[in-house]
Amino acid sequence: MTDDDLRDRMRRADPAASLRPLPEDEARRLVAGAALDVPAAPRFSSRRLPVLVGAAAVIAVVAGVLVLNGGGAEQAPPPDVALPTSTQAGLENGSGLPDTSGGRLTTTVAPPPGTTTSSAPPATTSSEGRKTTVAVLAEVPADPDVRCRAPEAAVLAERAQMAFEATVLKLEGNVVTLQVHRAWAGEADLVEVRNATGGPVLAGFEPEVGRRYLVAASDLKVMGCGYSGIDEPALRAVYDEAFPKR
Amino acid sequence: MEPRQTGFEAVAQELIEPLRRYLARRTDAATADDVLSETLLVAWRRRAEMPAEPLAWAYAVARNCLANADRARRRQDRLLVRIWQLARPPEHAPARDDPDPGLARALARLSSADAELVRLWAWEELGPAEIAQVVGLSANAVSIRLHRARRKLKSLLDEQAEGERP
Repeated sequence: MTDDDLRDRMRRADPAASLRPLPEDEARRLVAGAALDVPAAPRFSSRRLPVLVGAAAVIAVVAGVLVLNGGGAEQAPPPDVALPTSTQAGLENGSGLPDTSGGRLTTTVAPPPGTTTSSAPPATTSSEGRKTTVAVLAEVPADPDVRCRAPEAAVLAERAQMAFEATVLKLEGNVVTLQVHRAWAGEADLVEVRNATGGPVLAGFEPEVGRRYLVAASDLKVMGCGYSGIDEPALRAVYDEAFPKR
Repeated sequence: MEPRQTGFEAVAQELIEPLRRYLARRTDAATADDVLSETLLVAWRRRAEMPAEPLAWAYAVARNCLANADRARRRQDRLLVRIWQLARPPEHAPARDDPDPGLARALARLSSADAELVRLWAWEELGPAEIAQVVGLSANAVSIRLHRARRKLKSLLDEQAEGERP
């Protein structure tokens, strides 16, 4: 018996011969799950923002709005604050377009009532007890009548307090959870986007588990109009230009 | 500026199938799934050490993770034995639907380290330098031991064939 004969006999008895390849989605999910262990995203940001404070501010604002709404009839919310149940077109979606709504408040979109407490950061996920920072973003319905210009670095730099490269980890109801791999601006390990559009579309893209996206947010709202989307060279170039490495 | 981890996901995707096969050859399906996840996690944590040709490195990570899982299971088994007073003799569990029981018996008669060298050579199709990386020996030592292990395995198979002849 030669070495080749031996190897052939071993191969015929290979227990893995009948193993079917893992579906691509499952492989991507496995890799993304492993990367969830990351203690912190690499940060090159020149515009760091404490996301925890930002997220806490959202909750405070939401609580304030709810209290005001429940407390007195004369305390109507400002007309251009988009409420979670609103079906109004969201011109304030951080699109970077000329602002046709006039002077607009910086009040953020409220996550649906009853979900804010579950999003209270910080969340701790790792077995080693490392903290994972969760940025809670919201998304408002896009105005179908608004025509978007191609994303511009100057607009992105001016409007976005957060700009992440992230992979979708899970989709649960109207919440999309993304693992941040890199932060151009802002600071987070996980991003939860509460999709208030009533549809599956998130900033013009259909979230797909395991797929990588570039996500920008202005005032904790996902920027639409092409500023957030699938990780592609053209969009990445806009991010790189908007937030040059120092 | 390129993101630091861009490479990891791409490389890890390429490693998944070889790692699944490696584990399927050495443990049951449920353990293989667990150890695959653990292997990817460890690879992610140690990605800074990942070499340009990561396959043998990844096998070494999987090998360690599998050894840890086996140790944990043995501890659990010992505990069960203590609790239930089950006297379970150590056994060589033949693979499920083993297509070549004679080969399995012959491999079982090699030392476990030698049998592993032969498996890495035949199933993972690694050369001595790569096998050395997986098992933590020098390439020279692997060459010598692998040569002897193959010779012994062939002679055991020849013996079997002789015994089966009328």
